[in-house]
Amino acid sequence: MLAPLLVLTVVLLVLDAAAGPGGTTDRLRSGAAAVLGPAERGASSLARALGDAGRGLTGRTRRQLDALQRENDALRLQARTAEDDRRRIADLDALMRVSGLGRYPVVPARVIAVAPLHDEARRVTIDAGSGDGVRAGMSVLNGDGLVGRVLRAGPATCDVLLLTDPGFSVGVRLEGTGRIGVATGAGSAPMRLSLLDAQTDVRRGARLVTLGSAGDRPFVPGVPVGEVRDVRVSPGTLSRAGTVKPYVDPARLDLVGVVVQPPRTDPRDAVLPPRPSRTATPRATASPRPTTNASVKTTTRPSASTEPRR
Amino acid sequence: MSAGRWLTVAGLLLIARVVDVALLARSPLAELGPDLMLLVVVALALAEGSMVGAAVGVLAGLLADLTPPATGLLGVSALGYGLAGAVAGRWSRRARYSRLAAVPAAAAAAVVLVGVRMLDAALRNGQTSVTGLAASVPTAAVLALLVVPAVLAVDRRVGPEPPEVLRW
Repeated sequence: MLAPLLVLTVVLLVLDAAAGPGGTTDRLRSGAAAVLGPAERGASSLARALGDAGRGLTGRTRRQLDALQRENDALRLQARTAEDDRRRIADLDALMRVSGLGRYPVVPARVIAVAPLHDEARRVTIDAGSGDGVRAGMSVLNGDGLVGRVLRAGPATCDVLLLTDPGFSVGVRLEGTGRIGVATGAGSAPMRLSLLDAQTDVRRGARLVTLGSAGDRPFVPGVPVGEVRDVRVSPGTLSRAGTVKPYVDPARLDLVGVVVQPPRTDPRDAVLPPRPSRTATPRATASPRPTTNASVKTTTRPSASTEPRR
Repeated sequence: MSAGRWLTVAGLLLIARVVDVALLARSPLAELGPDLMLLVVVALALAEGSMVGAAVGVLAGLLADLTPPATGLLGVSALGYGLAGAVAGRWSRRARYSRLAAVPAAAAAAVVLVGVRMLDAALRNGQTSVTGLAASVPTAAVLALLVVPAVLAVDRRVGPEPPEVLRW
């Protein structure tokens, strides 16, 4: 029993190491994704439904069992779900605003599975696949900025490499000056930045957008990536190194969008959220998610959307 | 083991993996590195010994490598879980007398798996986080007390264990 399994494992290992993308093992993976993706989707939505019910019904049904109370509970549950729906609408709104400013046609999707932390890879599965027009190598973003890129697409689900994965790299442009560099994921540590011009003067808080790739895959240009946290001066090197704090918090990903078509023109940094003002206090509204800030901020900056692009 | 029993094991592994990636990895518990699939492997290894443990482990690892979001080379997890199952099987004799044997078995299996994962991550990314991975060892030991008896109960319902004499 054990020997044939071990032989099979070794054969698969060699096949996978030798084959490039689109090989036998990739077909095996997409076959597995076709079966297991929907299972994960079901488990994820079941858990969400149970969570909603649990939050709305704790301790009430036990005390009063008459019909009136039951009706009351149902209404209460409805109110809670409406709250959650409103949050989701706000997410979608922010996502659409970013994609609207940059004119990205996006397919919205939800995160349904996450690679366990001990797998040492920052990847998620989302519930949009090749049936929705998603292909490997497309950019994934949400209302805050760049999320990652599509690794491989199954029929109804696809795997996304998050920007915090150690294997993730993206070309970036500094807002304003347009200087270019490369940002690389580093797991739970902040992303690493290396600027190609050692003479570049960068300050903490400078903001980065994607540079865009040839043929707009894997990255469309102009998606906000993050803010520079610090820059080290290392004498004798040709580039300047630093760290970047991404706008997107991978631990709280829910609704994301896959860019199925690149924008017609490069939006540059026109889609960056405006600089936070010192006096404004949008956070005082005790909103649980930061996406509501994005909506506040973008409305205070109408010039961004009216910038001539054609 | 009979074919029906293997099917049950495969089903248990599948359920455990889906719960791992779709629910546990998204919950606040994710930091602790819970791994239900490893505990299914440990349970079978305790019931049937190292050889079956290793075989179940290889199956589990292949499944882990194929479930989206699939990470790394196809087969690396298979070797890791296989080795973990073989190690956990060393406690199978003691497991007949005490349920607590599941704790050291699960801890040892988790240590083996962490080692393989660290090696894999170091080769793939050139870096690895020891602290993040180490959390999964005590988690496995604690969860073993709950999950292993449950898995064994399911397993016993499907294929009743033959008497000791017949096993020789």
